[in-house]
Amino acid sequence: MPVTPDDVRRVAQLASLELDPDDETRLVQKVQQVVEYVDRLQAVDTAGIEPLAHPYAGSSTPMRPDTARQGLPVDEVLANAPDRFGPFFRVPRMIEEGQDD
Amino acid sequence: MSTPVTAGTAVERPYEIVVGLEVHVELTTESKIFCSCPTRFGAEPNSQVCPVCLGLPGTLPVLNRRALEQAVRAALALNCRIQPVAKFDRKNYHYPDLVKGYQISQYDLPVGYEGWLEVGDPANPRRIRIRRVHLEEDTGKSLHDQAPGASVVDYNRSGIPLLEIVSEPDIRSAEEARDYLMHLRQVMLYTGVSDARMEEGSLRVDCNVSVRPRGSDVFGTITEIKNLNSFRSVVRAIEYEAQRQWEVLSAGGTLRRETRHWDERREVTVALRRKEEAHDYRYFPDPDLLPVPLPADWVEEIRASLPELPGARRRRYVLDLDLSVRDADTLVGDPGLAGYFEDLLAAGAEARAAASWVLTQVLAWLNAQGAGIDAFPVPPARLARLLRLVDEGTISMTAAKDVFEEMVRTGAEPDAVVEARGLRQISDQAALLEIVDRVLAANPQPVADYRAGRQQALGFLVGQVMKETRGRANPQLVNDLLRQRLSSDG
Repeated sequence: MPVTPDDVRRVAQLASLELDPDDETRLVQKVQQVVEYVDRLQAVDTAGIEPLAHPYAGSSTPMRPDTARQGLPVDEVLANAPDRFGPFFRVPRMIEEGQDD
Repeated sequence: MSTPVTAGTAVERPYEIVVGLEVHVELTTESKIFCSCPTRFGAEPNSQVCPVCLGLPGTLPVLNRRALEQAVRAALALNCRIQPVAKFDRKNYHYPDLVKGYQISQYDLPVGYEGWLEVGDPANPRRIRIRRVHLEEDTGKSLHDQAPGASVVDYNRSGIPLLEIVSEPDIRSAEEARDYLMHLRQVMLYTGVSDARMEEGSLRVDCNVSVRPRGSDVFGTITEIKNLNSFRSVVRAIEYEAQRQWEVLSAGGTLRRETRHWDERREVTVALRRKEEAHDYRYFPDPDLLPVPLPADWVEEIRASLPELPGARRRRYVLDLDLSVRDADTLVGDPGLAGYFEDLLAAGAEARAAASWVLTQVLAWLNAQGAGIDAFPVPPARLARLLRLVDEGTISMTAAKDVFEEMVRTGAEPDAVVEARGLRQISDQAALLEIVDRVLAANPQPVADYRAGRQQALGFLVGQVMKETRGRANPQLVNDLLRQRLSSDG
């Protein structure tokens, strides 16, 4: 499956990445290589083999008991925030309201 | 759209409404799903967060066992099949309230699948199929009215365990959607997995709505309605949206598959500004979490610990105890009240009388006090005794209401009140007959009226006997004796 610059731009957009044209050309080739590798894997006959969700097959996820512990003080929580408003993180205004059609 | 939409009844509509619901409920755990932060509602903003639920680099999620158990419990109560091995996946998108750039959710192996929930009259129920029940983490909460020109985010909600319950598009009216939500909410309350409060956001609903001509079995274009914050707004939004869609289609227009926002104030749905990119969540298994086996014996243990579920209880109340659907719904909808009713039955009270007392006298007292059943001062056995006194004809219903008031006020035993106040009903035929004869003799005109065919004259005569006995005469007996006398000696 050939990878196009459009594919790369779309994935970049979904990942909120800004690419310059050089990046695009380079990434088309890189992603093409990955896809070719996956294509090669696809060729392996896996009939009769259990799907694997995780490489640590056979083990299961560790769990914790449901006990609460106080988290961080609010000033520590906000210490690395680019912008704060009282106890909140301040972010650019998000459009929530709808508009009439 | 500026024309007001008036929703017609199902009969006059030329179209059929098709609805599927996606419901999110917050599980009532002490701590979050992947970290130990507390889950208390209404805490100071950003006071219940840690590096894990803030999505700081280098942190790893560890699953809360109780959250998993609650999810299985809810899925079983919704008649789901349980996945032998569940797994967590990442749902990738960017939004300020989503700390990691992905939400840990479940994609192809949800905890539960292929369930159902019954709605409507228990004698003739409709089964709404449930496609899946899966476990995920909640996001932070964005607020838009705090800082001028900006949005702010509170991450206390980030990582609260959330159950998503997705129905098949089996719902056929706005009322049925409300019914489904009511039953679903009750299942959450009965199983204790969520307090399911829509006003606090611990139960949230998205509606997928489409319409089609009556008789068609083809699905129309779906719009998804968000921002619904009460059962009432769900009903109004579905009614509005279905009518809007039908008007677009009737005018030869086409519908877009889109998300619409319910404007509570104007009672209309409006299209959200379209995002440039279509949704593409690029789900993949979360490498930070291993698969989660749900062993059959553990699942069966949870199943065995389920209480009688609201559906079964409603069916029993209507079909076995002969209560009205309305009374059954009111009782089932309030587990505390239903528990009191059950205690009355256990103490020997007759079901319909018990239901009637609980839903009138008891409920009226609770409403007046603004109290729950726990605060009600009359133990069930004592109220059952009062009901028995009425049933046996020892006291009249009118007297029973007085006794009830005194029992609530003073905590007295019903028998003691009856004796102290001389409320014992006169059921002695000979004694009553004497009074009946006296009343007949003193009221020749009504007697003549009755004999001339004016039935209502009997009511007056009954009233006179009751007056003579200060309300203590057994009214049924008075009626019988009067009729007897009036028809025999002419």
